[in-house]
Amino acid sequence: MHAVVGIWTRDEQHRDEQNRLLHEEVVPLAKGRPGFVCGFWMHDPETGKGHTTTIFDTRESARDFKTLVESRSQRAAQVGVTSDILTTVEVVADAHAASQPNAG
Amino acid sequence: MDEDVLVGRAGELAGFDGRLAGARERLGGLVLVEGDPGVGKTALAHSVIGRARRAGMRTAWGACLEGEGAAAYRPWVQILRELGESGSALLDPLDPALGEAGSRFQLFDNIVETLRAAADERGLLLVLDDLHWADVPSVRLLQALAAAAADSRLLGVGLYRSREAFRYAELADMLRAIMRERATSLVTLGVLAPAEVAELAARALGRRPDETLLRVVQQRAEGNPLFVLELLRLLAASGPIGTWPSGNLRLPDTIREVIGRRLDRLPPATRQVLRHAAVVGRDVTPALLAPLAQMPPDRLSDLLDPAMSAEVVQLTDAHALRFVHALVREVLYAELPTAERQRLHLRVANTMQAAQAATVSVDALAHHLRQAAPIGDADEALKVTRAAAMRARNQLAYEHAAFQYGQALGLLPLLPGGDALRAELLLELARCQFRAGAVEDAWRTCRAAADVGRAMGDATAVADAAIVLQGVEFVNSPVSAQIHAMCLEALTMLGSNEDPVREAKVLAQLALTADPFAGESDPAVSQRALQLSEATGNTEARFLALLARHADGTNVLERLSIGERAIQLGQASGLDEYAAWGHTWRLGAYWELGRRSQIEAELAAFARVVGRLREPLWTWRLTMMQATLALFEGRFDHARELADEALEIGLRGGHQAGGFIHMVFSAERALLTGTGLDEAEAAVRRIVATRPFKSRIWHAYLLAGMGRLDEAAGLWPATIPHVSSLPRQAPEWLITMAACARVCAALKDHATAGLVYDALQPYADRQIIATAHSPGYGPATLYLGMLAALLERWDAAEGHLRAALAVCKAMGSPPFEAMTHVELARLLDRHRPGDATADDHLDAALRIARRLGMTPLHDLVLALREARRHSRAAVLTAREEQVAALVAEGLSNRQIASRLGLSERTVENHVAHILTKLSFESRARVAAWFTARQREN
Repeated sequence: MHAVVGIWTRDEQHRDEQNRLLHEEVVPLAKGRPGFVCGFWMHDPETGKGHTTTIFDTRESARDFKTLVESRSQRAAQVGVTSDILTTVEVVADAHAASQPNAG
Repeated sequence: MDEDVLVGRAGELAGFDGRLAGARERLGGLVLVEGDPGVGKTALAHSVIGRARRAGMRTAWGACLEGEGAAAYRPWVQILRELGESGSALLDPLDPALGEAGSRFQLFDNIVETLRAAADERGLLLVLDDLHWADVPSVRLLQALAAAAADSRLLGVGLYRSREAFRYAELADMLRAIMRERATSLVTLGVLAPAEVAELAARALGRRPDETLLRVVQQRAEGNPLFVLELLRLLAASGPIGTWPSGNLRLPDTIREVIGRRLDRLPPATRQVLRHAAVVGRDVTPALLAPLAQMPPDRLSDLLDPAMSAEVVQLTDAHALRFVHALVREVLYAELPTAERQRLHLRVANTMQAAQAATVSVDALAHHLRQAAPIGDADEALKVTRAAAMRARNQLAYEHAAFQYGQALGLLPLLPGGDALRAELLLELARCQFRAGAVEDAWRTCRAAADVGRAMGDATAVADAAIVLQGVEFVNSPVSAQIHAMCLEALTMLGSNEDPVREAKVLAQLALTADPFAGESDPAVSQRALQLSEATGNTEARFLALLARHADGTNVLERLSIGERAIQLGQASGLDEYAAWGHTWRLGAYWELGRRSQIEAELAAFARVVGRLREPLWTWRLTMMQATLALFEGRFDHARELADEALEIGLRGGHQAGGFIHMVFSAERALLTGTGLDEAEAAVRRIVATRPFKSRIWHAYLLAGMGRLDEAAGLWPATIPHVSSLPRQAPEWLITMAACARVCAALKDHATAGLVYDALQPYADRQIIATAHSPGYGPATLYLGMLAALLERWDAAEGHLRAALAVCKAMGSPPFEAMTHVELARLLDRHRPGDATADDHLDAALRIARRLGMTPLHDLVLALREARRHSRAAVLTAREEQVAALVAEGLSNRQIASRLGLSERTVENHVAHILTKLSFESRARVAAWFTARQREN
């Protein structure tokens, strides 16, 4: 598996628009991508930064998703979100709680 | 009279024969010929052309035009057309999509290659006449040719007037620079000697001149051939010398006067027509002259006949009329009163505008409209002048465009409401000045534009003035503080969200010009610029924001991401320069992370982009990056060759930092090889005296590395306070900390070592490097290890140094691997004096030092081994020395006991003591140690 990992700067003034964009566009978009496994969109209240991890079954799927995200940088910037870091990485281990069907 | 005769130039012609022969043997170059008006420069060049043709060489001629109506690159377009090339490379506007990012170096390179190719078969002689009237871009192209002609079959000849103001002041400096090229020579044409004047007069008259006449001519003409010939014509027209009315024939004092006096003899109507022609230029077509003179062509022809007979004008191959010498036109033009000139210029402009647009030179039309503007249409003059400026800009003829914008500004007082255009024109002028490399002029013009903007409450003018000067080279420069202040003012004037593209650019500029030492750096500014620019999608604003974000010294992973975005931006926009920056940033980040294979992949991608850009600055960066890698790998000779090559490229491209980076490189190489240390130290000493005090850390580092500890200690106390004040985001932070570590270790400065250790500790996984094109210092753990050892944090020191050793091996850096071995040996020697692995490290360091030629390290290792040998010798007793010697011979305890007359048990005890004292684990190590010591002795 491969993950698209991002760290994002978020302008607090656009919080509502960011949340709407995230839930109405970004998450459905990711879920609909080929090879999507799971995704996490996180917020660090200490730094105000956003952290994202979106996991795909293959390197190609992850790279395609990263390219898609990059192509939408203008849309993101319009609601005050810019990427600090966006990269694809290989998942070398994973674990899940025992109650999960695919527990590792 | 035959004025084609060339008298008194045998020496010069012989010199040219040599240069022509050399050119045919691929020893081409450039000859500049300077001399007063009328001294015979053009005649000499014609003679050289004849000789070249007789030798089978191709020839081409390009002339610069007097006055302000000539287009950029005119002489070069003439030359290219004569050679069968279209000249379109210089004439056709650039792809508008590329805007100002077009590369003039690339353009010039293409032209030079075309000319070299044209010269390749038979040799080629090019003549550029009247360079004192040249547009600046034409002389820059000549400069490029002079640099590239040395190994070609191409000989250029440039003619210009000495002792006369150039059309553009910078031409004098540029010609001086051209003269410094190795294959350029200068010929100064002097006046003729009296005997040569006599010979010239005899040839011109077809008989030996009367002695009185000759004396008169010799005294008046002062050896100037044109003056001689004009005077002879004048005097010949005055009748035999004996018939001159006594006292009535006042002889002219200057060459211009003699021309005027000769023109006096023409019919008044002829002279009037010639004055009209002089308004057009040195060459004028009858089609243009007839309407100008307001007479039918046949009448015009009648009037010009006396001028042809008097050899004032002649017909060219293209059936145009040409003044025989530029001075003739100058004399006639000077005779016209201002109002008459303006009327005639207006008539020329009207005639040109009535002609077909394709045949009209926009520069010439703009010139005539400007001259006529006080009585004509100043609006039209401004419009056409701006069109000429834009055309020059598209031709990458920035100096010429700047000239046109300057002229446009001069028209504003003639226009009602013209001041409303002042800021805009000033900004256009500033952009051209900046692109032409005239940074100070550009900034002065920006300030003038901002003054106008301020007075008119025009925020965009102030904002645009603040962002004309772009590029990282202005960071920390004297103007950066002024630009920074203007950015702040512009942002206040702009307000928020009114003009996001401008605001983003100004924010990026604000971040780029912040002084980190003054606490002006605020990462939020570049972040805001990035967000705004990305929201607008404006390519230029996005790149500026990425540049600012990178300069803010963000963390290494973010720099990788920023680099990737710049590459993507470059690919999407077709602007390779953006991609080149992106690769540079990623290379810096990968170097810092010590990612060897990624460095190589990125370097290969960067090289491809640089290959397309073909700009000296980028080629310099690439070559320095290759030199840095070679130095890191211990390929010292190759590293030096590459660095020298880079220096040459950088200097040729006018890159100011090229010399400084070469010096940094030379100093580092000297420290590693021991070659050129004193020269490097002297150069560093000189440069740090002119730079901020913190740069003395570098000097102390160098002195410490050279073993000049007293001098390093003398510098060090005053520099210590600067160690902690260096802002972390400064690109030189890591390298400065490593330098400090080395000085601390050398001077045993425990207090500063603690500070530096704590500062460096978070970067333990990094390589010490400032940029990918300047030499690195190896892994951070090497310096952390030195510091920890000094602080007697033994375990930490050993951990750091072992990590450094592994990194050096993984990165493929034998020089830093050797240095790490030495530090490990020193550490073990101090911490575990008997630990024989210290010897292994010294052996490993010695092998590398010998193989690579690292003389200072080699000598240090030998000294350390000697010191260890002495300390070990002192450790063993005399009896233990005897036992160790026999162990080294391979004897068993029993045999040793027998040899020494001791019990076997006693020998066992001695051997045990030896192993303990030397921290060896086996007899074999004792044997190896003893044998090695014997060999050294």
